[in-house]
Amino acid sequence: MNRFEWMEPASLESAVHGLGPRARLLAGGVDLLGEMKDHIALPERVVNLKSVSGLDAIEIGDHGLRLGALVTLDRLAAHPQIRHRWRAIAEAASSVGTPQIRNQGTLGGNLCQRPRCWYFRSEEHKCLKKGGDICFAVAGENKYHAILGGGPAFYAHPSDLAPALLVLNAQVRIAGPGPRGRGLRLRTLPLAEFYRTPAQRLVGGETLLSDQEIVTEILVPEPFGDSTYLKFRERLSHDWAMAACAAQIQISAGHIKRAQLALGGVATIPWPVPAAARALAGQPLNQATIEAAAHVAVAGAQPLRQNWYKIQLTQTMVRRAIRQAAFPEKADFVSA
Amino acid sequence: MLKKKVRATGGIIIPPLNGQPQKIADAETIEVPVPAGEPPLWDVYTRPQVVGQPIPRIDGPIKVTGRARYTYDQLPAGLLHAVLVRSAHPHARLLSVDIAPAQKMPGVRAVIRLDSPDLMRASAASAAGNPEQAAAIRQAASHSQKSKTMLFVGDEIAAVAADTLEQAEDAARAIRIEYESLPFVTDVAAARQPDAPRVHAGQDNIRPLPSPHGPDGDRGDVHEGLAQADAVIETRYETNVAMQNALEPHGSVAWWDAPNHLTVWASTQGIFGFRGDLAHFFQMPASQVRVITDYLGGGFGAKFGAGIYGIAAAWLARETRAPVKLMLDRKAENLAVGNRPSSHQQLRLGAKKDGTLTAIEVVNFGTPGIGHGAGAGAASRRFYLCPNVSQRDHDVATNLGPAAAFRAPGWPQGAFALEQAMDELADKLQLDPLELRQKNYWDKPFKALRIQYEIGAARFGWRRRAQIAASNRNSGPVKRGLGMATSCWPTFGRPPAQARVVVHSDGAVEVTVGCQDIGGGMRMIAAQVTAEEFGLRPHQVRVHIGDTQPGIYGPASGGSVTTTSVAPAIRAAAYDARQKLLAAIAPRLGAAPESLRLRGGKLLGAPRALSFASACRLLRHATISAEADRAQNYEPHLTEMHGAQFAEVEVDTETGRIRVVKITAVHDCGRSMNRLLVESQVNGGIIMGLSYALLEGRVVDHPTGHVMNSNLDFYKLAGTREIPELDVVILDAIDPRGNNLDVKGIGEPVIVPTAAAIGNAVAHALGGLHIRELPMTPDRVLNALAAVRA
Ligand SMILES: Cc1cc2nc3c(=O)[nH]c(=O)nc-3n(C[C@H](O)[C@H](O)[C@H](O)COP(=O)(O)OP(=O)(O)OC[C@H]3O[C@@H](n4cnc5c(N)ncnc54)[C@H](O)[C@@H]3O)c2cc1C
Ligand code: SF4
Repeated sequence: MNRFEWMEPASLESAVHGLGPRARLLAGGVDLLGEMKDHIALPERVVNLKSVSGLDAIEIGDHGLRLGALVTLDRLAAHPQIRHRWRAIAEAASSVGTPQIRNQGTLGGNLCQRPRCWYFRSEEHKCLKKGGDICFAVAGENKYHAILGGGPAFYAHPSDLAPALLVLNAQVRIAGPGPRGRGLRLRTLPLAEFYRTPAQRLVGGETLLSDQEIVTEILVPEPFGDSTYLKFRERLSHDWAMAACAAQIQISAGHIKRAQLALGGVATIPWPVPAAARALAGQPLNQATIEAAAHVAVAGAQPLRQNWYKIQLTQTMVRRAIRQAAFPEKADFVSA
Repeated sequence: MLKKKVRATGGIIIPPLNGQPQKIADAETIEVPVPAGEPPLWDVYTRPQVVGQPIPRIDGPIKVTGRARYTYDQLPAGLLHAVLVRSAHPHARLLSVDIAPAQKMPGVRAVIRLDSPDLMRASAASAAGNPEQAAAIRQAASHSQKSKTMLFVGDEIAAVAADTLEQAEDAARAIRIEYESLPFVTDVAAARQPDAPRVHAGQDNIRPLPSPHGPDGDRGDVHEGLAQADAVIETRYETNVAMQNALEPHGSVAWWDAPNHLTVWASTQGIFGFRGDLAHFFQMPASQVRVITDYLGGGFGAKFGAGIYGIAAAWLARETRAPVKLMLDRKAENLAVGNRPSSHQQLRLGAKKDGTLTAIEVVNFGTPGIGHGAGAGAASRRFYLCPNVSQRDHDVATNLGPAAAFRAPGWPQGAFALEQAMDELADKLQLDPLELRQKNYWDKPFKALRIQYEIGAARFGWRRRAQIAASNRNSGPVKRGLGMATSCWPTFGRPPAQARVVVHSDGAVEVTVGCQDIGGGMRMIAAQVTAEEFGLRPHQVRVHIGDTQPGIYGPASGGSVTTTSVAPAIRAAAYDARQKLLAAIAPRLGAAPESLRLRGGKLLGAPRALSFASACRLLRHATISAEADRAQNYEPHLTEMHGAQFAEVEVDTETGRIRVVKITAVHDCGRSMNRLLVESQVNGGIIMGLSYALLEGRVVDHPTGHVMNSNLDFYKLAGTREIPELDVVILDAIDPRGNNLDVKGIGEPVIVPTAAAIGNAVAHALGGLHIRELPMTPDRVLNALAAVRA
């Protein structure tokens, strides 16, 4: 780890102004410290977001759920109302890593974490993502990589929370410097617009955040249906998603009224699949409908040499997630 | 040496099972030539009071409460911290190594270069469990000033000691190294090509390994055997390189407490080997080096000698005149200090219609990286009675870190292939796989395997196989399967090993052994065996272990020899000490020594019963001391331990997930010294085998020659949710021809069959489709299913 300046800003405004091209924001530090220990992040300054108060609240009001960026994953997993009404969030949070990681990791950090591609995490491999001129995954070891949204880089976005929040139509609140770099500007946008594929942005991050912007809150409206997050881990005990599907579904009289689906672990960004949702909407809830949705969910997939299996795996996750969201009370089907 | 013939009865002790009382099977009385000085023989009817009892280990509480101090925890005053600098290239000449910038950094106390070619590689070989190779390198050592060629990413170049670990790490990064890259090869198939870059200059990448011939080796003529067969199967299995990942990494804390005396705390499986390597390197008498391993955080065969890390620590300690701690980080663990080599095995099995084997042929290519020894063990030669056997192993050198011995070196690979080939053969002959094994049973004296098969099959419900296969046909995506595999491991325990037992006049009993407790529980075993002779409880015995200073020799813990080699020496010393004690106090009690007995903490047989401590007080100020050497095995042949494991799995054909539901394991280790310790070894071996079967595999980026999963995030070890229900049964296979405790080892045989049993269960679930590569990850399962569909 390199030497760096440690900053404890007292306000959001000073946090924003403490950030810049050579500074990094630290929340729980689970990901950032890993990057620094692996010598792939060498910030000159680390800005501790935890010294800003008021960013760790869970509030439930008329407009739904407000989650501070510093809310830890274990709190999301354990919150009774979240588990009841926004089940996908609680399931996604409880599927992350180990208890230690969930105790320490925050929601904002989870959404903004960097890729887990092993070339990205290797100091010796200066890949496209780190300003180099080659994506090692293309000719190399790409079993865990993306089948969707790839090119010119192919890492799979690691966040479990993001797909769950996507199907719940979450919005992100972002604080950044105001006009002419002074003061504070807040903006809110749908999470669906937050991420950037490698074709849109290669170095620096996987979101639209500038190096001075901070996620302050996630806003989740009242759900229209039941939601779930189904994640396939190669190692059950604790692992990243090999493929995952989040679903929100509203059923009425045996028909699907409305649906939202998103994939995790298989695309370079958390991957909404509106086509699959459309394939469900208005259809009777039966095998044929589910098959149709699973089919279109992976449309356009471009597997690499070692990850063809992800097509089938993803389709399985989609089918099972739909059933799990549609029949939350039934546990007689196999899950992940 | 004088020997007397003693009659003793061997046989198999079956513990109480399913409400049945303990039973003895296959009892047979034989004459055993016992050397003079050995304590009275035990046999199948002996009922020891302490030995064998399931008493929780004496070091359990101190370990689980964090009070046990491992090498990693040694923090002597003035300690410096050291790190190694490693090659970033898979194959390169060093053009220059500029250590000057590092020397100027804050806190830096010493920087040394480790790129001289000879003694370093010798130490690495020694640590990896290849003493012959180490000796050969030492013999050929040129002591030249020329820099060694970097042969893999992680090869050692220099070492730095500083006041803090962070300062040492910063300084290590400041060393400027210029490389001249050389052509390299890391892919086994590529390395086998005639025009592949040479890993070791001037040597072929492919090196055939010697095949032993004889009754336990290659025998007969496989071509003839195949010609006689009614059914022949030809098949292939591959296993990946597995990394060791002992919880505590390699390393040591070293200091020179006098200019010519070196003391080292080391995380090692062989304190005497570690001492020998240091003495060699510093050209000093071995007795001037003291190596201590109080508690060891695991070792699976890669922690035998001092290694380059151990030498660097001592060297830096000498340069700085301060204690130096050098423990590897996880990445270095996984790059540079040993792994289980891969295998690529082609097999041909031939059998008669009734299943009688006529031939077993194995051709294996595996990579030990830059090291040696990628053979697939001897399952083909030892599991079954087959007249024609041939196994040809080949090392394929690659520019990757060296292999080392790793829990039953070679055998898990060999068993994975052979045992699945046996199931393929059974399929072809339409025989039950267990029947096929029973048909080819190799009967040997006091061998428990036949009973192990029977007990295992009954407990596990092997008969459910047909019915499960039928119900799979109309089940959902999740298929169920049952599979089993055989285990065997030769008993390598033998002299030299020593023990000393001292009895104090206050009743304290101490036992000193020169081995280290690798985790199997040698501390506890030493206490139990000693306590047995004195009629005490194990907690009343003080055990000294893991220190070369007393000059009591113990073997390195490898080959499952520790207990087999050391425990009989303990019994001999304890027995002798007891005799001496009784002889010393008998006159003071007016009794004959022969009439005295020690039992339940008391001295019996004297005019009045005395507590053990009061009896010892009769010594006044004197102590009793006895030392013993491990006697030769009574009959000079290798016996074996055996086992059978049965696995039940679920395979999700839509995700490729294999879930192991249950494993039933029936094993023996001669006489078990402590049932809890043995069960713990079996549990650990199964979990490690399961992890090897389902998750573990080194991933190498061949274009750059780097290992991509050298950390515990990307290298996946089984966790709690992978662990199935474990049903463990331990038989005592008493063979009186070995030693005074009838004890054998258990650490290794337990990992041999696990992956194979799981593989067979998966194939059963998938209607005969074998997943031919380890680890059997979801992608491989899905790909195999897709290939069948296509
Ligand atoms: C072994 C391991 C296993 C894991 N397994 C999983 C898993 O299964 N699923 C999964 O989803 N994740 C997994 N993670 C990732 C983990 O969930 C995240 O690292 C964690 O949630 C990050 O939170 P943090 O608060 O510690 O973030 P930090 O490490 O502090 O920050 C992470 C990144 O986000 C930036 N950041 C943090 N907060 C903000 C903010 N409010 N606004 C803008 N940028 C911000 C930081 O600058 C940094 O780049 C795993 C991590 C590890 C180490
Ligand atoms: S997938 Fe992305 S992070 Fe991985 S090597 Fe390619 S460019 Fe780098």
